[in-house]
Amino acid sequence: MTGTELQLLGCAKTFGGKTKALLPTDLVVKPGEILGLLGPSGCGKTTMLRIMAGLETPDAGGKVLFDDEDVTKVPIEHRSIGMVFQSYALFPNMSVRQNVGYGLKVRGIDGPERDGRVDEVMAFCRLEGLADRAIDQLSGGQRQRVALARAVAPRPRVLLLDEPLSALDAALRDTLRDELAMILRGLSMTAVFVTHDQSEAMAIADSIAVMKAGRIEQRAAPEVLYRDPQTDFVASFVGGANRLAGRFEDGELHLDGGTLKTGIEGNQPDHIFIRQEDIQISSPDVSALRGTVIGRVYLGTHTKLTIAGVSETPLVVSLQGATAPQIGEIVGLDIPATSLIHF
Amino acid sequence: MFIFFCFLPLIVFSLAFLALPLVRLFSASVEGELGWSIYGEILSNPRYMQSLLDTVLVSLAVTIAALLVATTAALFLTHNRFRGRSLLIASLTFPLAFPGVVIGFLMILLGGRQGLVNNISSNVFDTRLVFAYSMVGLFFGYLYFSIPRVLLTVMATAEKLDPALVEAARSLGAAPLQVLRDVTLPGLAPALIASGAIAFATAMGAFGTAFTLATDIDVLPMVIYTEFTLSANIAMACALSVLLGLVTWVLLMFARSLTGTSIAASG
Ligand SMILES: Nc1ncnc2c1ncn2[C@@H]1O[C@H](COP(=O)(O)OP(=O)(O)O)[C@@H](O)[C@H]1O
Ligand SMILES: [Mg+2]
Repeated sequence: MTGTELQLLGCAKTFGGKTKALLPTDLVVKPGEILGLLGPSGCGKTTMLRIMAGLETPDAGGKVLFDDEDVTKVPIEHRSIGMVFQSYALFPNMSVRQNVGYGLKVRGIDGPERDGRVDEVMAFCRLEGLADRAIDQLSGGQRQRVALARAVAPRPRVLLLDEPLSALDAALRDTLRDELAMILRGLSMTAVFVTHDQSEAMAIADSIAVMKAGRIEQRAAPEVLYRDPQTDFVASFVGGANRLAGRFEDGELHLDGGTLKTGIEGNQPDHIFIRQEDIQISSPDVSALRGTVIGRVYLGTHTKLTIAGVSETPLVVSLQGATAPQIGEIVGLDIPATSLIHF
Repeated sequence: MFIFFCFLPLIVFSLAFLALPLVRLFSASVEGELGWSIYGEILSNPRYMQSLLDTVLVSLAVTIAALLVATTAALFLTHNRFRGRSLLIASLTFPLAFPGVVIGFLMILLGGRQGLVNNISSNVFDTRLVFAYSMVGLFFGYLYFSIPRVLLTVMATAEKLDPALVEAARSLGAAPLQVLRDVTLPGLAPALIASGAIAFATAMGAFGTAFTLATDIDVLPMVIYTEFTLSANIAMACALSVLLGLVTWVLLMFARSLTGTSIAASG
């Protein structure tokens, strides 16, 4: 892989002497890797991205490295990064072509060389035919791709994207997400992008750092995060897993809705997780675990059921196939011991 | 019908306060013994033309200086938070309340024969420094009351500019002056045009300050006053007023079209 290795060493950020937006963090993004920073709003994702960009300086002791070069004190204009802002921040007084060519223009690249590179990047980002448009004549998806094209045109060492899809209509987001994933992959450039949406992170990233309250909870490939979460937060935030809390006795978990054989021996946790699609619905007469359906959303490929009376909080079950029970029905739940997640 | 009623106040206002007095002013200007040739008389009179030129030049200088000072100050005040900031902003608007006469007093206190500047320069450097009673005094007086107008308008716009625009330009490698030229100033352009126009038009028509500083200042509003009160030449006073309004209007239109094209061609 080509590209720059990006490294954070002990980077923390405290605002105004008290808001700890980011706790001391170490992070390596390999050359050409696409890293997703995933976490709920306010957990410090943007702050970390801005430290990488040079828009914030880390608290004393923190270091930012591009390959072996220490860029901690290098201001953003000399870091050679590309950045896509949440609002896109396109220059309203310039055409699409002028926006995309701006990074080349300020570097003194003119004439055919600039035009050639701009055309190349615009074609790559599927912006053919839009060169002379004004910014306010573009759709949301086009704006996002102009922002991306503008950021990559000067061939930055690292590409940074802050919630690049959040400004778009929900209806468009899935298509544009897949398109963005393809473009980013085609660039083979070291990239970090921020999102609060786990499906977005899964679709785009090679590797995901899940953040909570200013620290990275777990950093792994998407499938590893999903299959093998290391913390409660990752299990519920990334996998959408259900939390079952009750009293353990001889490998059995006693819940409001019955008992669950867990096969867990030795150190017994007071709660476990189970993913939505790992729960099967069966007859209440034969199952050791029962609950009442209180919510039912049909989604075509699957049906999402909300079931109360099993544990403290209602369970969410994602059911494939056509015959999902109706609201008000009492159902049995089969939960295979092998699917349980515990720490 | 509803739309018509919404326009009604504007129509009434335009007719009553703009169109009718202007028509009356114009007709009064050609009702004197010179008739229509009064305008030829103005154009061939070196004193009138000189005062028109002086008025335009001092107004232009005031506008440019006010835009420079106020824009710099507005950008500083928008991007920096410090103790006493709100108090400073509130007191910067102080001159807005003063009539031209008071501004004239202030200039005399500052740059007159007994003024602060002259006292200091006489005592320390042994040179007399008196500027209040000239175009220079007028320039500073006008600047004093133009800056707050420009500052308030520019600050209101600067605070609404998306800070990500500046960050985006920097991320693309733009140096501070390039950011100013390509992002900040184009973003402020509407405010600069609007407040510059107000500063210019106000300076063209200002009278109280010139009247207070008096002696050898011959700006057009002063000439109009003299024609009206001393010579009782009402037709000439009206004709000069029409000229003053017309020149201001044409120059503002010209500036507007000029900035319009330069904004479209930037980047
Ligand atoms: N410039 C700032 N001044 C003060 N507090 C800030 C600033 N920027 C961010 N914060 C705070 O730091 C925390 C993390 O913010 P941020 O990194 O923007 O979160 P995220 O992008 O994950 O939503 C939040 O509590 C936020 O209020
Ligand atoms: Mg954010």
